[in-house]
Amino acid sequence: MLGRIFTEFFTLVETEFGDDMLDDIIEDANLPNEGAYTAVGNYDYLELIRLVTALSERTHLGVPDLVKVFGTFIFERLILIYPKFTENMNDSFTFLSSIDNVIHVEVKKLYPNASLPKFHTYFQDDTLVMIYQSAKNLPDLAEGLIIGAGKYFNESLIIQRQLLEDGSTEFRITH
Amino acid sequence: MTAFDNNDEIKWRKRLNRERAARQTAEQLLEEKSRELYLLNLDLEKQVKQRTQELNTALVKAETAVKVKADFLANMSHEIRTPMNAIIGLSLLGMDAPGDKQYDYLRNIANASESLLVILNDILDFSKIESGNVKLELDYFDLKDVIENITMLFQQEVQRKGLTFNIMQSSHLNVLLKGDALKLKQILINLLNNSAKFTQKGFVNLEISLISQNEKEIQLQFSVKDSGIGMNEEQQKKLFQSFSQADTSISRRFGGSGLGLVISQRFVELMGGKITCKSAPNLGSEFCFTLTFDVAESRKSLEASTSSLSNKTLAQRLAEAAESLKNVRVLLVEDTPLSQQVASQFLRNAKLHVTVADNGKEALELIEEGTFDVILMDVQMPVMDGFEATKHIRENPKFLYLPIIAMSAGVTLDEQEKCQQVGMSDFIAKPINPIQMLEKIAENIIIHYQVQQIL
Repeated sequence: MLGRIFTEFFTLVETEFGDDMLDDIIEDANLPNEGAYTAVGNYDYLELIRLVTALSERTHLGVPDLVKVFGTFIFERLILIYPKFTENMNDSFTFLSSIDNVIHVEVKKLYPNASLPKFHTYFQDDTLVMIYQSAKNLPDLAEGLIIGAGKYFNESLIIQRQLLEDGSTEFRITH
Repeated sequence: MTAFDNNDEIKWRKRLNRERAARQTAEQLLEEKSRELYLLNLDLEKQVKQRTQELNTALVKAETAVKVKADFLANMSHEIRTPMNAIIGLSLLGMDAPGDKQYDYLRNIANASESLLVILNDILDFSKIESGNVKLELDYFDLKDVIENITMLFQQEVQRKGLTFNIMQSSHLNVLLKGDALKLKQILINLLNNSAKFTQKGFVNLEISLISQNEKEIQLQFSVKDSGIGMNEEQQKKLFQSFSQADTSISRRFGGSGLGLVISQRFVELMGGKITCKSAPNLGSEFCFTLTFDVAESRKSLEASTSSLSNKTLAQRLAEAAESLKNVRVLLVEDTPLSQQVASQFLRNAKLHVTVADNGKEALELIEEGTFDVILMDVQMPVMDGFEATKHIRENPKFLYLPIIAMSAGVTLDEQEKCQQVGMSDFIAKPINPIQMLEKIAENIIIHYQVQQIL
C-alpha cells in the first residue's frame, strides 16, 4: 500500500485524537519499522489494519466506522495534493467513473509498483453502479472515498452496498 | 527541566527516532527515484537527438527529391518543347512551301518526332525502373546479331556528324549467349549515342573483349570509347545520378533526357555488372562494363527461340511485309480522325484494304456484315472501348481465333496485360512504326491460318 495512505492516517489520528494516541497505537500495533512511514514508500496494507484495530480498541469505535471516516478524510487530502484529478469535473459521478481509466492510469505512472483496487462503473438509469474489487478488500475505505467525493462536489449521495458472491462489493449510488 | 519526567523523554526520543527513520527512508527512495529519472532522461535525450537527426535526414532527402523532380520536369519540358517547336514550326512552314521544299520540312519533322519519342521512352523506362517493374527477358541470342543491329541503328548518327565508328572484337564468338538481348542493345545504343552527342570530331568505338570462357559461362567486357569533350572528376561523380546531366547547361547544349546513362546503369546492374567511366576534359571518355552470360549447349537453341533480331534492312523488311499482305482486309477501329488517317494511309500504301469503325460498337456491326482478316483495335474509345468490343467479338465462336491487335498509346505493362486478358492477340504501341505494324499483321495472320489448318 502506498506510504501516502499511512502518513495521511497518522495525520488523521494526530488531529482527531492527539499525538499521544498516535504513539500509543504505534506501540500497540507492534510494527516492523516502529511507525517510520514515508509518503513515497510502499508498505504492507496489513500494517494499516493493525493500526486501525489498535485505534478501535483504544477509542471503542468500530473498525468499519473508523475506516469509512478515514476514507472520507483521505479523499479530501488526495484532492488537495493532486488537484489535477478533479480538473474540469463538476460532479461526483463523473469523478467516480474516471477512477479506473484516468486517475489510476496516472497513479501507475508515478508509482509503477502500486497495486491498485478496481472500480468498475456503469449507469442504470439515474443510478451509478460501482463494483469494488481489491486484493486488500477494504470496502469501508471505498465507501468512505465515495462519501468524500459527494462532500467535495457538494452532493448528498445515497449509497447502498452489497457484498457479491465473488467477494467484490457493489455500490449503488443515487442522489 | 524537572517538568519533563522520564516517560516524556522516552516518548519524545521515540518520536524523534521515528521521524528520522522515516526521513532517511524517504531520502533513500528519492535518491533512487532521481537516479532513475536521470538515466531515463539521458535515454530520452539520446532518443530525441537520434529522432531529430533521422527527421532532418529524411527532410533533406525529401526536399532534394522534390527539387530534383522539379528540375527534371523543367528539363523534360524544355527537351519536349525543343522538338515540338521544330514539328509545329516546320509544319506551318511546310504548308506554304513549294513542293520540292516540302520534302525537307517533312523529313525534319519526322526527325524531330523521333527525338520526341526517344525522350518519352526514356521517361517511361526510368519510371519503370523507379517502381521496380523491370525484369530481364532471358533468351538465347547471337552477339553478332546484336552488333549488326546496333551498327545499323548507329551508322546514320555517325555519318550525320562525320565521325568514324569502329567495332573491335578481340575474338570471334561461335556460341550463343543467354541473356536479355534487347536490353543489352539498348545499353550499348545509349552509351554510343551518349558518346556521339559529346564528340564533335574523331571517333566513337565499341570494343568487345573476351575476359574468360568455359563450357558453361562466358565473360565479356564492353567498352565504348570516344574522342569527345570528356569530363572532369566532379562531372563524372554526378554521371549516374537520376535526372542529372554533368551540368544542366550541358543539356541545353546537347539535349537529351539525362536519363540514358541512369537507365543503362540500372540495366547493367540488373544483369550483374556495373558501368564504370574513365575520362578527362578534352581527352575523351570511356564507358566500360563486364557481364557474364550462360552459354547455349548448341547453336540449335537459337532456332527454337526468337529471330526478332533480323539483319535485313528496314526497306527490305517493309517490302517483304507489304508483299505478303497485299489485299489483306483490315478493320481499323479508331476514334481519333488523325489516328485514323495515319494508320489507314500506312495500310493503304501497303495495298491493304481498310475499313474504318469509329468505336467498338460500330466494329461489332461491321464484322457481322463484312469479312476481315485482321482487326486493329484502339483501346480507349467513346461508346464502347477496345476491351469491351474484344470481349464481345470473342463470344462468337466464329471469331475465336480472328487476329485482334491492340493499338494503344497506353504502353504500360498493365495495359498490355489487360489487352491479353480480354483476348487480344497482339499489341502495337503508338506512335505507330509502319514496318512494325505490317510485320505484326503478317505474323498474326500466319498464326491464324496455321491454327485454322490444325483445326
